[in-house]
Amino acid sequence: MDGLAVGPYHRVLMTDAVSPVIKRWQTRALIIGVIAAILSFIGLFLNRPQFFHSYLFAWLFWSGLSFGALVLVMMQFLTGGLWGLAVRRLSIAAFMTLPLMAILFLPVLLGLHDIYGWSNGARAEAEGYHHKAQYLNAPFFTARAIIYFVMLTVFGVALRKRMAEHRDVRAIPALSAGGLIVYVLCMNFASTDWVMSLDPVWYSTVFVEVFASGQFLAALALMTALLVLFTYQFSLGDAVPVKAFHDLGNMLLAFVIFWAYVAFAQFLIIWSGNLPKEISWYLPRSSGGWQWFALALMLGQFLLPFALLLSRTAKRRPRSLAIICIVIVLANVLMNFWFVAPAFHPRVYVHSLDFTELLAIGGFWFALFFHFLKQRPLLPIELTEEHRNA
Amino acid sequence: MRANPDRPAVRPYRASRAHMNNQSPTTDHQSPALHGVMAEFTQPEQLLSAAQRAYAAGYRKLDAYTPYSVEGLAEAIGFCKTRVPLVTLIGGIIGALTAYVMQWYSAARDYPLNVGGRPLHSWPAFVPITFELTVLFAALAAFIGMLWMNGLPRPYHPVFNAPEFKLASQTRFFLCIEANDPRFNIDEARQFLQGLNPINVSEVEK
Repeated sequence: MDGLAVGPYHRVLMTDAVSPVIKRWQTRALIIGVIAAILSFIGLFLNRPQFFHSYLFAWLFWSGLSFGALVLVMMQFLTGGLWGLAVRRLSIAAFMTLPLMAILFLPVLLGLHDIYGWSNGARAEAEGYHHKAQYLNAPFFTARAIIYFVMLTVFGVALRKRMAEHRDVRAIPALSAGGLIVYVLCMNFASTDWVMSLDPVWYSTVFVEVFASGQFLAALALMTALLVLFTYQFSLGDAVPVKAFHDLGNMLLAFVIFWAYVAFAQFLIIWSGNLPKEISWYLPRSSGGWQWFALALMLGQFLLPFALLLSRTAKRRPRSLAIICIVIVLANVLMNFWFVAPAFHPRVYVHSLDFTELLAIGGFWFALFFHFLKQRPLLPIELTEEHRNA
Repeated sequence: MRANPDRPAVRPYRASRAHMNNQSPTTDHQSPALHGVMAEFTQPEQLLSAAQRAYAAGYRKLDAYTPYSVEGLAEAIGFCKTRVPLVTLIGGIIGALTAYVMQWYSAARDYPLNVGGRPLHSWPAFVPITFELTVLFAALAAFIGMLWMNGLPRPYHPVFNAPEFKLASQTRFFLCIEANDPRFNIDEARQFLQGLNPINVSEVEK
């Protein structure tokens, strides 16, 4: 045990020193959430449909972070590696927001008629839709959402319990493997329910990958940015080795490429086929000003981070890595907006509710995240052990 | 791991030290016919700590030979950044431009081709080939650039004169302090390496 490694690590271990700061952040996040929620609630009476349209977008973004964090943790338990160790505690706190996201799904159910054409009969006459009513109806939609949340929350809580109590740790890889399979199956249906069914005629079998890789990418980027923030805020020094940041940068690069690959694969196939039933997703999303959102998304969630993450220096310098991460997270907000908003507005339309509801759910998300984060040390002990051995 | 451009690629095999000394009289170094002193280890951890201690002792012209990649070893012998990534990047950019311009020129300029009524310059259709050629050119640039910067192919290298050196590709780990190190002194280097607990220390002829 050399002095260099012990000093900062003890500071991380001493949750007494760290938790008051995190508790203050938790209170601030809660205040922001409550104020934004009150403003959004006023908006509900001024413009009811818009309230639910904005809500779906905001909820998709924040719930995506919770799901993505769960995948991150499960993947790390299966593969190991420094990258995942460094963000493990943050990711566990992040996926513990899943029960909250389940409760916050209620407004989507309340606004079902305002959001989904299939639920209010407006699209029921559309050609090729009739047989889909067996699947796309309010009771089944609700039941499925409950199944997704219950199953994934059970896996998440079971993982956290075993980690925190150091009990049955040998079952963790098996739990993770099972959890990942359940996650992919759930998201296959969830992406269909929540996003694809905005246009009940359109379908794409690769959409689940666009959706799920977007969730993972956003979670990885946010966790990395927060890790950098904590490194400076709590003067962790070299408690998080530079190699961990380098590895996280490489993971981000890989997933930025993967997301772009599946998103473009879907587009290219539909563009080549050019069939009316298939292009109905892209037509409203590439006209009326929305094409600029698509372009910004290509830049923000692929070209810009891709080009920057090629640089070894950018990955090894925590500050520059954090900036790239923030770009990715913002682009992910944009992606969810571009998924949802063009379904309701043929021309570019940004409402103040889009911002207040993003802040409202975000405030609650962060409040619960900080609540779980302050209960345990920020870094797992294995990180420093690995560091010292290396 | 390192290229020595000042050394000719081909040397007579196992020229004896005495013979070499007769041909070229000694100037500043103890023995111009010596490539270096080589220590042999059985465990990668031993090699890693030996390399770190040799670097800490001030030796800079170090090289290590292992059957597989040992993490941290390159940094331990003072390996600095190479230009292979840069060459790869340039190769990738040239590949992307070549592919895109080729497709645009052939399908939209030289022989305009109407495919399903789409615009002549349809960028989505050009992306797969652009991607493929980016990867191909980047990979070729990395491979050729790596060979070139390493001074490969090289039919003769003095390290193969070390006894049992062929085990470097099987089970043994070697550390060589090269004679062109400014701090090199054959007896000191030998003594230093002996102190690192190797199974064998040998002088490597050029």
